[in-house]
Formats: sequence, C-alpha cells, structure tokens
Amino acid sequence: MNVEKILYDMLSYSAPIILCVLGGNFAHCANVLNIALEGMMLAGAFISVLVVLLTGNVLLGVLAAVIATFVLGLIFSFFGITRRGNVIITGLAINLLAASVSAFILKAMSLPNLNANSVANVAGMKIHIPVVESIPFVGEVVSGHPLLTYVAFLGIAVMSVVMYRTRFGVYVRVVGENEDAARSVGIKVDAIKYAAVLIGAVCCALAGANMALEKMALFTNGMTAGIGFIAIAAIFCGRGRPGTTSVYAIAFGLAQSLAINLNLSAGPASGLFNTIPYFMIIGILTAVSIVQHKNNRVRGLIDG
Amino acid sequence: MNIVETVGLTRTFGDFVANDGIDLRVAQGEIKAIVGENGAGKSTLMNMLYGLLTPTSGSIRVRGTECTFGSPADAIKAGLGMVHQHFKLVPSLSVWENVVLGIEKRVQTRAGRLPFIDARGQIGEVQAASDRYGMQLDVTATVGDLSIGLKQRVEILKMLYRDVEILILDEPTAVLTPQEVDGLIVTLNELKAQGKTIIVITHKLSEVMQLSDSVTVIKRGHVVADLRTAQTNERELAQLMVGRDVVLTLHRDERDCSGNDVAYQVRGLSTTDEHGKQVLSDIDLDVRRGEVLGIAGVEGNGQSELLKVLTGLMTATHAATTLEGRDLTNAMPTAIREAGVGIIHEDRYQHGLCRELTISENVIAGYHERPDVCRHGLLRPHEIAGKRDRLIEEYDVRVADPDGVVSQLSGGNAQKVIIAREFDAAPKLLIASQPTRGVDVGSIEFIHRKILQLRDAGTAVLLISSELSEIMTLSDRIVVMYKGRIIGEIDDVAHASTTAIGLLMAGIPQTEEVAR
Amino acid sequence: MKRRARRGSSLFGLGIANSLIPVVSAFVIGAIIIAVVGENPWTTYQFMLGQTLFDASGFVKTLHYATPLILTGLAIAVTFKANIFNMGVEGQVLSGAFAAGVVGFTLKGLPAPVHITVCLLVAIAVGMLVALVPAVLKAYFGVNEIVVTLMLNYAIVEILRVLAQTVFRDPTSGYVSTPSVAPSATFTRLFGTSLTLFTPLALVVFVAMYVLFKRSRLGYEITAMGINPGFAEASGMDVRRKIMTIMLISGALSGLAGAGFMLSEKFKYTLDFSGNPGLGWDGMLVALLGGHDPVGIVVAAVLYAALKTGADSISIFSDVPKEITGVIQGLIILLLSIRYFTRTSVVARRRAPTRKSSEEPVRAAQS
Repeated sequence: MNVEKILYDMLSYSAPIILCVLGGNFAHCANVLNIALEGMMLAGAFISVLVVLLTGNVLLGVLAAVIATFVLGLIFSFFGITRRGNVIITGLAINLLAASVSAFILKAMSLPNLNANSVANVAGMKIHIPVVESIPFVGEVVSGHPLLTYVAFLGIAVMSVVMYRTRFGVYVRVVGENEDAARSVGIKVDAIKYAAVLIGAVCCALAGANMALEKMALFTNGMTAGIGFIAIAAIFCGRGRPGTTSVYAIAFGLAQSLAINLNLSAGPASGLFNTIPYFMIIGILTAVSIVQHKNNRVRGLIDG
Repeated sequence: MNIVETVGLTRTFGDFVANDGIDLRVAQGEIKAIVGENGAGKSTLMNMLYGLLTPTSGSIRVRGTECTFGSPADAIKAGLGMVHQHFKLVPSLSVWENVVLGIEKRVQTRAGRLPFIDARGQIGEVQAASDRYGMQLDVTATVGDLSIGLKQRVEILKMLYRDVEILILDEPTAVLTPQEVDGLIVTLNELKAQGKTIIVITHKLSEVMQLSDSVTVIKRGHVVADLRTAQTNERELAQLMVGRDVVLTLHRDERDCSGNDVAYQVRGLSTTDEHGKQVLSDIDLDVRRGEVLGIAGVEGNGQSELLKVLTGLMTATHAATTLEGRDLTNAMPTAIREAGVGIIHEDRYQHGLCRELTISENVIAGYHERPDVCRHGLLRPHEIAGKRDRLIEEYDVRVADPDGVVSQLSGGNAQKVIIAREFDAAPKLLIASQPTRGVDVGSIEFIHRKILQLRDAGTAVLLISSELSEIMTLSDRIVVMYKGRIIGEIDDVAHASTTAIGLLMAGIPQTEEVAR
Repeated sequence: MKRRARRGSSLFGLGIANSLIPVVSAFVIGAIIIAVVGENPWTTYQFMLGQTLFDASGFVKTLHYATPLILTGLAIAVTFKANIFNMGVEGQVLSGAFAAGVVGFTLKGLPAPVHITVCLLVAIAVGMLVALVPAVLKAYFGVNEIVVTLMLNYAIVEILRVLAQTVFRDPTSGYVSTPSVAPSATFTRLFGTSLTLFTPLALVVFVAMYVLFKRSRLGYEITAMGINPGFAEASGMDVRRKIMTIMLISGALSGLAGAGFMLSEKFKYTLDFSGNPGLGWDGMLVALLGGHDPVGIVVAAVLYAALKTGADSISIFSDVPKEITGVIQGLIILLLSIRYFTRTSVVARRRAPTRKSSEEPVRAAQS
C-alpha cells in the first residue's frame, strides 16, 4: 500500500468533486435545488474531449465545455426558475439528456468511446512544481497534477471570499434565506438565481474537463459515475459553505482513492471496494442529518 | 401641502376589484391612520404606494408631482418607505447588513473600488443613524437573536437610512405588548418631530385614537370616510368600517365554574426548541368542564410551542397531561383526537386545512379513519358528501361551489370549515388558537358565539389568543404567558383591568392579586 | 370521492394537454436530430410506431414490453405524489430481478405456479428491503432521499455485477451472466404471442393501485402529504410511518417489475439487463407523462414501450442509433417539468350586499 499514491489519488479524485461543489454551493445557498450537476459534468467531459479530438487544441476544448454547460445551465434555469417548473424533474431531464445525447453522438460517429490521446498529451498536462516536487513524500503527493486540479483547491479560497465578502455572495444567501426580504429591497431575485446556477454549470464544465480531458484524454459513456451526486451530498453535508463542503469533498475523494487502490491488491471481488464511497456518503449524510436534527422535537416531516 | 396624494387609485385582480377609485390625502408631517376590516383593501393600497403593485388606473402624487413606481426602489427614491407587518429581515445577517441590504458600499482604495463590501465603514454609518433616531440598537448584533420589538426598529431604521420622508407602517402593533406599543408611539412622535410623515395601517381602533392625527376609513375597496382623529371615536370608526352597528363585546353569560370538575390537566410541561433552548418551562394548566380558560400573551412567548405540544405536533421533555383521567402525555395527534379533543390550529392554511383539496376532503381530515366515512380502508364518498352538506348548512359556510376547493373560500369561511369539523365531533376539550385571526367581523361574532355554545354544553375550552379583547370576551379565567412560563392568573375576568394584564404580558408579575 | 370541480372532464382534458405538448415537441426535436443524422424523420417515425402500435403482433409485443413499465411507473407515482422522490427504482428493479433469477435457477423440482410465486415473493421482499434503507433514513433522520437512492443505485449495480461475476456466475457463458432460470420458473407465452401471464398480473396490480389512489384512505393521505405535510401530520396521518409505507409499496412494485421482466423475457441477469436508460428511468418518464395517475400511466407505458421497441428495430434498418429514445425521453421529461395550462383562479365579483348586512359576499382568494 503506497501511502503517497493514495494521497496523490485523493487529491486527484477530490478535484472534480471540489469544482462541482464550489459551483453548486451558490445554487444551494440561493435555495435552488440543482441535481443536474452530474449531467453538466458529463457534458463538460464529453465536449472537452470531443473538441480536442476535432481541433487538437486543449484550451478550445475547455472553452467549448464551458459554453456547452452554460447552455445547459440556461435551459435548467429557464425551465426551473423562469417558468417555475419542478426543479427535480428539470435536473433529472438534464442528466438524462447529457447521458443520452453523448451516447447518441458516439453511436452516430460509430465510436465506442472518444480517445484524444493521439492529439493531446496527458503526461504533458501534468504540472511539476519546481522546488516542491523534490521534497520527499510531500512532493509526490502535491506535485504532478494537471492545472484544473490546482485551480480546484485555490478555488476554495476564492469562492469563500465571493460568498462572504462580495455583494453577489450576500445577495445569493439572502435570496435563499428570505426571498421576500430580497425583493423588498429591490434585489433581482431571478437574476441572482440564474447567476448561481450558471456558476455551478461552469464549474461543472471544469470538473468534467479535469476528469476526462486532463487525466485521461478519454471519454466513455457514463464516466462520471455519480460524482455529480456525490458533490450534491457534500453540499448538503456542508450546508453550502465553501470551506466545509470542500472538506467533505476531499473525504469522498479519499474514499474513492482507497477503493481504487484497495481494488488493485484485491482479487476477483475487487468490485466491492467500488461501493465504499457510495456507502460512506450515505453514512456521512446520515450522521450529519442526525447531528443537525438532534434537538428536533417536532413531529412530522423532518426537513432534510 | 399634501405630501402624498392618490387620485382615483384603482387596482383589480381579474374580476376582483381590490381598490376602487381611492382618493387619499396625507398632509406633510402628520400621522395618518388607515383603517378597515381584513380584506378591505388596505394592503393593496399600501403595496401600490410602495411599488410592489402597479395601479390598474389612477395616479399617485408625491409633493404634487405624479409618480409611477415599478419597484420598491422607485418608491424609496421618491421618499416613501415601508415597514411590513411580516418583517423582511434576514435572520442570519447582522443588523447593519440588513439595514444596508441592496445598497451596500464597496471598499474604496486609491486604485479604485474593490468588489468587496466595506464592512467597517458601513458599521459606523449605520450606528450613527441608529443613534440619531434614538433606536438603541447594537448594529453588529445578529438579527435572529433580537426581540420582536427590536426587529421592528431594525425595519424602521432600514427605511430611515435610505432617507425616506414618508414612513408607511403595516399593522405595526400586531406583535407588540401594550408597553412596547407605548414605546413605538414615542418613536413615531420623535420621527414626526424630525419632520417625517407617517402612515399607519391598522385595524386596532384604540391605537388609532392614541397614535394618529387623521384617519381614513376603507371599506370594500372604497374610501368611506376621511376624519380628524380628535373629532371621532372608536364606535364611529367601527360603524364606518363595517357599515352597521357592531357589537364590540359579546354579551357573555357570567358564570362561576369553580365548582365544576377538572376535565383537562397539564402539569410541569417543559420543552426545548431545535437549538436546545428552553421554550416552555413548567406549565401547569387546569381546564374545567364548561369553562373557557384563556391564555393571553404577546405572540412569541411560547404559545405556538405550547399548542404544538398539546396537539401532538411536538414532544415535550417533561409533561403529564390527562384528559378525564386518560393519559395524553406526548400522545400522537390521532390519539389526542380519539380521546375527544377538538383542535383549531393557529395557522389554518398550514395545519388546519389543505387549500388545494376540496371542502369534502378537508371536512374529514383528522377524522378520516372513523367508521362513518371510512370502511375497510376505503373512503365512502356518499357519506362524506352528506357530511359536508350538513356542516355547510349548520355552520353557515358561504361557498360558491360545494365541490370546489378550499382556496376559493374567504378566510372566515375557511375557518368555519375547521370549526364545523372539530365541533361536529362533540369534543370533550376544545383547544383553539387564534380562532379569529384574519377573519371578517361577521364571522368573528359567529365563531365566538359557537365557542360559547360549546362551553355552555359542557365542553372544556382552552383558548390561546394574542388579541386581548378576544380573551377578555370569551374567557372565564385567564392565565398569562411570558417567555415560556405562566406568569400570572386572573380568576375574575369581568373586573380585571387591561393595564394589569398588559403588565403581566410584558413580564412584570403582580405582587398582589389582580383587581378584586 | 366526488371532486367534480377538480377532476372534472375539463381538468382531465387539462392533464392530457399538459402531457401532449411535451410529447409533440420532443418528437419534433427528435425529428430534427434524425434529419441531421441523415435519415427521413417521417418514415423513421412511421416505421417505429407503425410496427409497434398499428400492427397486431407488434402491438402485442409492445404490451409485453409495457408490462414492467406499468409497474415501475406506479412505483414512481406512489412516491412522487407524496412528494417523495424515489430515484432508486432502478436499483430496486435490478435487485428484485436478480433475486428472482437466483431463486429461479437454484430451486429445482417445483411445479411452475409455485416456483414462479416463490420467485416473485422473494423479489418483492428484496425490493422492499432495498427501499427500506432510504425510507428509514428519510422518515426518522431527515436524510434527503434523492442522494441516498441515487448512491444506492450505483452501489447495487456494482454489487450485482460482482455477484454475477463470482458466486452466481454462469461458467458456460462467454459474457457476464447468471445461469438461466429453470423452465418451471418462466412465464409461458400465451397463445403463441409474446404475451405472458405477467401482463394480466400487472393489470391486476394496476387495478389494486387504482383503487388505492382514488378511493382508499391511504390514497387520500398520500395526496394530502404531497401537498401539505404540516396539514397531513396535524390531521393525524403520521407522516413518518406513511413515508415508510409508501416507500415499501414502491419497492415492492419495483421488485415485482424486475422479477416479472426476468421471468418473462430475460431469464438471466446480464450487465445490460435493464437496457438503456433502464426500466427505472423509463418508469420515471411513464409516471410523469401519465401525470401520476394510474390510467395515464398505463397509456403512457404502452406508448413509450412502442417508442422503445420501435427504436430498437430502427437501429437495425437505418443509421438512426437507438439511443434516440434516450434523447426523446430526456426532452419529454424536460418539457414535462412545467405546466403549460393551469386551472385559472376562480374569482368572484364584488357584489353590492343584497342580503342581510351580517352576511358577507362570497369571495375568493388569489390562487
């Protein structure tokens, strides 16, 4: 069991979750339930690899992914916010559409998956930090990640500032806590909600690009495997606070890292380790809920 | 000069005319009261003045110039500010953050403006404003922790900070103790002295007489009178509001219930809220058969929690509750109803009724397992419709369509559905909370009469209300709640003084017996 | 119960209109996609639906494939109506199917009716067990069921895959699969068509659910809970126990759907057992399209099964990938998330009082 590798993988697997979480926090704080993070991430993964395959330009790929998820975010916001639709169903639809459209395009192109390794250099996308990489243990864990992984971790600080020190962040929280109060002082509630969803969409694009393009230059159907939902669980556990939710994201990344690394040393039943993250999330969600509601004396529906 | 005027202001919602050609004149520097029953159109008028609604026709003039308000921001710019009945505050933010909400200033550096909020600068400015108007607020305190009276001051400060000249207050005394009302009057007079104009919307006529310089009466969307307060009185105002001679207090048969058996007993009831804070401490109650026990107190002193515990919606940490010998401690709502308790919840649309369901479906709620409407797990539509028709008749519920949904009923009629349902089960104990809130005067009388009828038939009645007049009208005995405790008891309601009860409501316990 | 004002013919028409717009729009967009791929949308749709709806044996085949969808649709509807979002139907279906399959090939020498019954009962129990987890977590701990059920779906797929690859592996098969169920555990085909007894069984369940939704006390409580849980609790409906009951019913229906599908069509568990997007998600579409109404669900199930089987044959005869169904499904669900026509609020005029002054004119609230 290589501890450095486990920690390296932890940072690696956490990054896309953190990116989803940082974006998704805003919708959560604005009281818009966005379960489409999964679909948006998948779309980001698909488009980034597809565009790189077609153009050879990594930057263009990421940009295209951002545009694509931005459009998905607009669709979600239009149906869910402007037209006051059921956001759970809208989110579900976006997830289904992302999965089916990408599968459809792959089939239409007669490809089993997208492999951009011929055009993009995955190894080249890893950044080796000059001095840090020579530090024993720490160097192997921290250095050698692709750009967006570092962006994810830096993003924790950036998003915290945005959430608590800027007007936008205050308005997002006010809209979520008391929409009436926001309206009474002239805050444009719908615009704030749109912006919150769109930030989430863009961050999901980056998460998808990080997962598919940067790490493997590969896209396979359904490769996000629930990471978007794991991010939602982290957002619930951390109640929309950038710092806390990121800690949960890292915990889930650790679970995934352990699952993969334990798999390698296990036999045919190795698939069972893959279930660890999922059960762990259920466990943590339950624990967090118990703590949150420990003083609840009200009968009836417990507001999760 | 009239600082605010409306000319022929009209607002319709489809076929429904909420305001019909209203001409309002408010003089500079006066305190004007606008009175009317629930549903008369006062809120609609104020929402138009504050830019939350646009008029269908007519105009609004501020200082002589015609204005159109597309949003509250426009109204504020014109100098009109509103303090709402239901505060529009954000509990997790501090006082200053709530005051500057929407107009935050950013940090100014030599290089330019940074996108961050200038906390330090604004804390100073807001504190200065609070001191100038005598608000006595600590602007760094979290709003969620403040008392209701202080929260109201934050709302007022929010408007004053935006340099409004005209302050509109919507039902400001609904949640204040009699003493806090005095405090508000002092504040309003101070603002008047500083040159502000104040419009107060209210249905409490005694306060109109205390507060205002002039009164405008609105009935069914029209202005029916424009008077100087000094030249009128409560009775006249009530008559104008309703259009007929209103019986302000129901003639009640005074009786001595102290000889009756105790039907309902509560001992040592305590519980905590979701933060672990004690909200009810050691409540003892005795309700006799054929007696109305009124629980008075300003809203927010634990009445809601008490109601929830007694009706099974919340559990208590300690309690011993019995109804005619049967133990109901922490019982579930079904068990409580089965034991013979009728329940009128505080918020009829949250707990008592389901708006989107039909009247039939609401009329069986809580009793839908009983054999008269349900057999072998299946409901019996014919019997249910029969019950509904009988109750509509007996309780004079005005419905346009008996098959329709409850949202089509007015507040008073919706409340009557609840009353019909609960009374029809011939309860041994009736627990009623705010039974006439948001109900028109005609229905109030009806409901009060029905409650007294139930009492006369031998039912024990526990009445919780923040309207002191209602408590005084109906109760045989009164207890006063303050901060989760019973702070005082009044056995002789007929000779009790409102002042004494008001003191109890404010938390000042009496050292000797109240008014004997 | 009579709800003429709400469930009158005008409202039924409203329900149909609300479902029709998304379907038509989705087909239009689908047509555009088909055209982009280079095929003729009109002939494509004609082929897809002609074979499956307007051809006798095709229609029977459609009914056969619609059967599990009726059950999963009902499984979704019973929870969604109560505002519980059971996203775990897919996992519950697979669990039930797998359990039925295991009982199907391990038990031998039982007469067919007994064997099938045992398989179905086990599957129902397993489905209920799987649904129990999110049910308890939501009812008693306040954990959001959407995340829990979604996580369980992924976990269950993994667990079943491992089981099919190891303990319950069919060594004779070239791909990952469990052994086929014994002949005594299969639903025999009726009259030489694709139909089996599974279909009438599902219709019996449909009738039971119809009664439950429309006339039973539980149906009333589900509706109340879905609209106003505070009201439901205050009316003594014990919302927490109801959550359990509703989820267990849902799990039972899902397990039954999976088992029936296994014993009437697939006969062994493979990694693509549920198809793409999966019986659970198909059920979601069917429930939404049917407006969470049992009759609507049956109609939607038949129509959607037609679409799906039609798309399968399309992919053989043309360049249109069968994934087009998934795209159309996603579009329909997206368009179903909003209401196009709403019941207009009933508003009364202000009337001059013609009656005694103590009466008040009938008024309506703004809805």
